[in-house]
Amino acid sequence: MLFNSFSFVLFLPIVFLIYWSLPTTRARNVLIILASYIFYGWWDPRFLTLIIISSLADYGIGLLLLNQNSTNKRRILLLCSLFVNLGLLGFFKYYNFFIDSLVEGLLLFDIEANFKTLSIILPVGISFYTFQTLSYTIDVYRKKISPTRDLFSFLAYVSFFPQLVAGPIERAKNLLPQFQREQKFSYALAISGCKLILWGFFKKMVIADNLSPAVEAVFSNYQTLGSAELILGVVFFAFQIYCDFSGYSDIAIGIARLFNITLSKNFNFPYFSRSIGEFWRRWHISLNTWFRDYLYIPLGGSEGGKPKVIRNVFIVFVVSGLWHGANLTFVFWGLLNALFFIPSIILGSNRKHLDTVAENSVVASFQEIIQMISTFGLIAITWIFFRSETWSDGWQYTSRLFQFAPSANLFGLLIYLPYVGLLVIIEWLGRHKDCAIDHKIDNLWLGRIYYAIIAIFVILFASYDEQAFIYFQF
Amino acid sequence: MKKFLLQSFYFIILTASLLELGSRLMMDKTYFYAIDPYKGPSALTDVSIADIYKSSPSSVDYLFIGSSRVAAGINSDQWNSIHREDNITINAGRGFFSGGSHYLALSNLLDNYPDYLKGAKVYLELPGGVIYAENFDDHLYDYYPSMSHLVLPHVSFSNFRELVARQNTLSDKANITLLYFSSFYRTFPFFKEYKGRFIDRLVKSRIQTQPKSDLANAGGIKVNSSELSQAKERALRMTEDRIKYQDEQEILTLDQLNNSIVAHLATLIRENGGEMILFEMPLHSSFQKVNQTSWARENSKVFKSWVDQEGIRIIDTSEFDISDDDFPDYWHMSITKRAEFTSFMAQRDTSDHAPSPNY
Repeated sequence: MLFNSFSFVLFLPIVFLIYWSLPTTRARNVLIILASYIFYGWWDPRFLTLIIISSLADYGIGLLLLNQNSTNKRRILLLCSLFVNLGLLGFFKYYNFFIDSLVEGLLLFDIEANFKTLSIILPVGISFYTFQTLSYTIDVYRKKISPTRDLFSFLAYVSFFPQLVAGPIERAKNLLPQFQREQKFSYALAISGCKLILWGFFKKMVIADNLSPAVEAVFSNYQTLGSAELILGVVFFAFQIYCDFSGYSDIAIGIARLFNITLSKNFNFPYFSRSIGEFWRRWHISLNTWFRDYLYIPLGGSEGGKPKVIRNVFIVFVVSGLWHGANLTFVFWGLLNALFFIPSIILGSNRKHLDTVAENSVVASFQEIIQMISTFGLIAITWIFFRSETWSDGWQYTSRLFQFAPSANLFGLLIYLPYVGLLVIIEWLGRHKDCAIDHKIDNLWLGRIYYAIIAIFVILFASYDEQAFIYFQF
Repeated sequence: MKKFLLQSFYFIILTASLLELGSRLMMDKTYFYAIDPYKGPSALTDVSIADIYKSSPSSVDYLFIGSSRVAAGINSDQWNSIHREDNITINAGRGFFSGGSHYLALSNLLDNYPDYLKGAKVYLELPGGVIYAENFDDHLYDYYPSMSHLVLPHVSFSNFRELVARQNTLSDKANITLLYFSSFYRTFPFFKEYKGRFIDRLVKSRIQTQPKSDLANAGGIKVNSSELSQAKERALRMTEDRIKYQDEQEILTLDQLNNSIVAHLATLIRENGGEMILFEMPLHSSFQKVNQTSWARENSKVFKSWVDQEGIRIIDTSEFDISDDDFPDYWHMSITKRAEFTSFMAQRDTSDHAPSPNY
């Protein structure tokens, strides 16, 4: 079920009203599980089998780890969890990619292999919930959290519908206790949730979906377009993917707040970053912290000298690329990001810019503007490979962009620029806030009118094609 | 919780009210009532905002009723200049406007302005002798699918109750009720369509050199050159469908015609002091085929005897010199030909020796 669908408009109020009319936490968790399974099964009921297998395996392994003191046996149990979760992910997401890559690799040595690929449907959001359940088992294994005996709260933690298919990827430490405590409706949290939902829909339906045809037109015809058009194409894609994904996250966080559940922040105005390091602290925060805690630090993290740190950064970015999709374009996207990130490690500046840009001023300084534009420029180059169908398309797109070919259809794309301008202005003015549109208005009715106008803007200017969120494919 | 639900309710009501208010202030005026062909914009070129805000005239001297062919083929300004400059001529030709809708529009106008037709000449388009021959009681409230917005501005509250009663399903009843009462509901689809088209046209106008079509921008006619080929395909398809449809139909009878929409229009016009005159718009050869089948010829004979019985005058336009090249989209004559046809009609109308057409 898509957030931007009519069925969800009916689904959410029904679940909300039933949830708060139920008397016990357990009953509410059962409702969340049922609602989440309906939400997820809406795409294809067969997908439910995978999430149930993954959930039950990790629940059981968690309990077995509780009573197990032998390090070896604990390790075997962890490996079992990794085998189940990564096995499902590997089979459904990467099987065909690895077979194709193997066949192509063998061809380089003149060996003709005949491995058959399978027609496998990629279950929506498998990368997200797999990482979420894995984090539970790893944390239990590391004794950072105690395993839960409460099956219902665990199932609710894994399947919680707002963040099930595209995150934020939640840690058990943050989310699980929220399903175990007694829930009380919080008016303030629910109102803040509604503001986030509104802003999320604005980003998704007004900005991302309206930019989508322009992006599609440029990336489908890049061979015939000029440099200025190609630049606009990738700029639009940068904003499309940001609004699409952060819009989903905002809606998810907002919906969770209606159930008195607080999810982690996933985006923090990433395009106002002054360096690549800052960008990655602000973009898809839940995934990056996941990689930091479960891959980067186990690899040695920032210990052991710069060559080792550089190696670790490369590994994390390549794995991150592969997490996004079984395609060389994503691997190259990861490599490029690593390449852009490395200078800050060498210079020791990767922990700079921990604050918000222009903290105490309305306008950024000239230096900050240059830093933001150059960071955006580098990130935009990586997006070319993220968006391209093949590695070769991405390469040709980039080459053509730097050939400074004349642009004949520039005007056709410039008319999409107001969407980007509008977003940048709103986000800049609200960059210190939890939600960019959350401005303090003392008069109750003026406040209502302000949000009503934003809602009207969404209703009038939204694209109504029910376009799926880009990150569902991951 | 109660406070949250109450706030949510207020928010939804406020948003819906603002949408409705904005729609009533802007969309209804600029779109919904602007599609009313009886408003009579002064020129057949692009309708200006000033024209839209004009109220309907309280009486007319000449009124043209028909399809978008009439909108394309009669220039009301030119018609006035041929007669008298201070005459009021309304061209109420409109695409997808059923005979019933014309009847409702006219009768509602007469309710508001009883002298609207006093001494007026009303020219009713008659393509092939079958249009508006539907049974009045059964088909008064007919509208083309997805074109309910055309009839709604002409439906009085008592008409509306009848319109709802005639809908088959509950969802159709709910739909027509919402269309009638909610400006936002009825205009939002057009806002969406025009928002998309605006960008599309803006892009095309700047990045492509579109040849300007020789069609009048009136009566719902699509004048965009890129849409012409689609219109031509639709014309050929519709011609085939209509010929097939004729095979299943009985020949008209005088009794049927006595209770047809055209008969009720004639009565309405006559009773309100006007004179109804029939005329045929020139057609592209593909459409002429529809009127040349044996079924159509038989119908024409019946229709002719009914017209004679009623004493209704027919202007013969068969001698008007026109070729297929004069129909840029097959449906409508070009602007160039419109001037000639308007003069031709005026000349035939005033001629004492107008020959009897072949009905």
